[in-house]
Amino acid sequence: MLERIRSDFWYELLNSPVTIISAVIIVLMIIGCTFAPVFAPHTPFDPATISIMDNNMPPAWQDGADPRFLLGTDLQGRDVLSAMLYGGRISLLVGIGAVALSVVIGMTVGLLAGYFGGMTDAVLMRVAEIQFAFPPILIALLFNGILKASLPADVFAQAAVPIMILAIGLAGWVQFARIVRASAMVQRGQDYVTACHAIGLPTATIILRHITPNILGPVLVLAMLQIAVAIVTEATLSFLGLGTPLTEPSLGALIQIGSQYLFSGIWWVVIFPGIMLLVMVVAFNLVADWVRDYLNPRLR
Amino acid sequence: MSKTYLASLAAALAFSTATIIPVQAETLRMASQGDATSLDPHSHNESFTNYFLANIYEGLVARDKDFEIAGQLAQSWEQVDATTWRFTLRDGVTFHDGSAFAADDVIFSMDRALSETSNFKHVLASVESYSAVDDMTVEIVTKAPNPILLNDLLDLMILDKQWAEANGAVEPINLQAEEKAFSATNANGTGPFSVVSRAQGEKTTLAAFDGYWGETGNVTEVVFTPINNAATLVSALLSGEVDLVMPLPLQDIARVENGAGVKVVSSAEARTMYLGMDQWRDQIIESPVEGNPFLDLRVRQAFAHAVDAQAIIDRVMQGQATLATQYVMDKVSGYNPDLTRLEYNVETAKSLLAEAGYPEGFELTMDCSTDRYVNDGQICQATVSLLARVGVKVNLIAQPKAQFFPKVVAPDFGTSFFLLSWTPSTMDSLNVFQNVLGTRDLENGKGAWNISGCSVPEADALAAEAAVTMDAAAREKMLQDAMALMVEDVCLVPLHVQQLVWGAAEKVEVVQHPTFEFPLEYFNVN
Repeated sequence: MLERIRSDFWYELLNSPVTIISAVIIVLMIIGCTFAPVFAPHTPFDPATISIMDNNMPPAWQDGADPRFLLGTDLQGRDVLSAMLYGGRISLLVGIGAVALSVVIGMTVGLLAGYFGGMTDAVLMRVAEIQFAFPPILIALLFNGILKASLPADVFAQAAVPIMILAIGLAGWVQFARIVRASAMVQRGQDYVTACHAIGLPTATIILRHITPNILGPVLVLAMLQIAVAIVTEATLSFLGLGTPLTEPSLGALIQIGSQYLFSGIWWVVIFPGIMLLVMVVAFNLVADWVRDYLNPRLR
Repeated sequence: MSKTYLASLAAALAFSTATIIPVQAETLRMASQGDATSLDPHSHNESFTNYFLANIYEGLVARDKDFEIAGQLAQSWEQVDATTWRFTLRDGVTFHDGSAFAADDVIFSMDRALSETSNFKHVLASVESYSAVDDMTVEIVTKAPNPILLNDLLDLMILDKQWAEANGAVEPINLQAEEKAFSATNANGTGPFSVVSRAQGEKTTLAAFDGYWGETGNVTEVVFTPINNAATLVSALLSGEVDLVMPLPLQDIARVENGAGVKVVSSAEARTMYLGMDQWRDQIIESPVEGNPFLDLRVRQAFAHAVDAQAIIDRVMQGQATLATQYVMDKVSGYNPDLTRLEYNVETAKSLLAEAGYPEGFELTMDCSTDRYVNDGQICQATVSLLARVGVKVNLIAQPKAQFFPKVVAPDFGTSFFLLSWTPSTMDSLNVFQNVLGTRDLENGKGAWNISGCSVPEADALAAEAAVTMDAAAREKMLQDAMALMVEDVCLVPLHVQQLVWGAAEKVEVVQHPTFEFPLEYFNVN
């Protein structure tokens, strides 16, 4: 598989300008958000730098604007552009972190179930199916609720990001488990696995060194799609007021804050973060789509 | 077509319009974010429910158009001695179903307000006994001289004894058990409006009561609809679907001001917003700091200097609030006009913190509700950024009131820094001393809302004396002095007195009271 990537990867990619644009957008967003403190004109998460006297300023091209705030300010006097970069950082971190957690759990469960089969498979996959019966957002709400009830309020507020990663990650592993299990079952019967057994390799080595690399393709596609889903889930939780604290809003929380003022003339607080979220999610989906087509021999 | 025919047609038209206009019903369509819990007047002590029902039921006394206490079902009253009050009832009053009002209805209603499922036992807390002297006279004896008995009686609504007995409504409905009894959806009061239909959470229709004893405005029908989404609520007003919206979301004030045929009506509400600081623990909670900085007066003063209450009013409250100098607003008795608020000054705040041993500030946690008061979450965020400028790092826990109240109330008082507010329903600051400012004595029902745990024994003594002082001027002076002591001690950081802001159609004339009442009998639709 790796050989094939080298031979026609660039050819396929250059033939899909939409994918190139999406990929560039993702890279720019990751760079812009990761280095938000460098690029952002203000530090919206440091309350000492925010002045309430600067609040509700419109974007720079409108009347009554302040050139310091390109996309205007919110009700607290936070620069919307800076808040979007800092908020986007939280969204990306939660999206990627949650999917990483889902991949680790899902692959472990899927490999164990697929490789060993029998009782292990039955038990693990029944658990997965039970969880699959519930919508992921409900599971995330449940985990979020349990953590909220069991942690002191101040700890919960300060650990918002890891908690979101945990809640969304725990809600999303089932799809990975199913896909990995199916692949692992196919690989188990292959000649190279039989050969591994024949030369007496330990089971752990067979699974990790020989089976795992052969099932990464579909996992990669699903992970890219799931990042978009996780970002939306985070935005939904934050929109419902369960996510990041008011003083450090993610994109979803910014949209929630702004939505209350959408019809009241202060449109910029919701529209710009909304566009950013939309572009981010669409870009991840388009790139994932292309990767899936690229890895699928039947479509070529 | 002959000219005569046209002329007669025109005359007929003119005649018909002339006759139709006077009999046309004036309907007031009002909307709010929530509904009254039930129609039972003794079941749930909550501002909106109380004041909605005050249009249907009446008490012995009520506030008139000018907010003065006036006789309602009591025509007059006299004090026989320091503890005995004799009320002469109003003649010729009938309930909505036509039965006559008399002393046994008052006695029955008092019994009902004191029964197990009542949420209004407190209104008779100072009362030793009550009895009917004759058919039109009621006597109330208090345990000690109570100068504000009339204020206490404001919330005591009177029901018809025979109606309640005939319909199994002798006891108030049990709020916790969510009982669906007759009195939850039916009402029979003496008020200016009677209930025509009631669908909980959907629509309630009231009609003007023909046999009402008093003067009323021209509203003949009231249609009340709860609309819980702010954007929908405002759209309904702007599109003419409703005539009155209360309260109006602050962010939509400009929209309504600029809208055609609609207006914004606002006045001061008796609700004073404040920041509370833990003054009873040796170690503040949810903070890495050693000990309790708030035990030092200079730290409390520094907080008052650091929080720019005027900026919060101008920016967060969009001007819809007035600066609070103390813990009650100017219409509440016991308000001290000589008091001023510590001015906003970052340098003073920093030097006070340095003197107290915190030159670099310190870190602590703040509790805040997000859906209880007007823009509460925003006020807290502004406070966080204002305090950051003097080096105090605040970790904000902004939470829905369903989580906020259980965390901060008695008996745990689980917060060391918080935003809260108080409205003295009696419009008397003694109520604030009993609940918020007085030294905690939970077993005797005192200081249940003194979450700060502040304690100024001299002020307690003055308040206790005021409680049994009948001379109004002397009493006022005691309450003012007590307030001055509390302000000097910076028990709380006063922020602002919020405005009542309603949106109304241009044609609607309303009366606003600082305690949030909406006496519809004084409203007019032009």
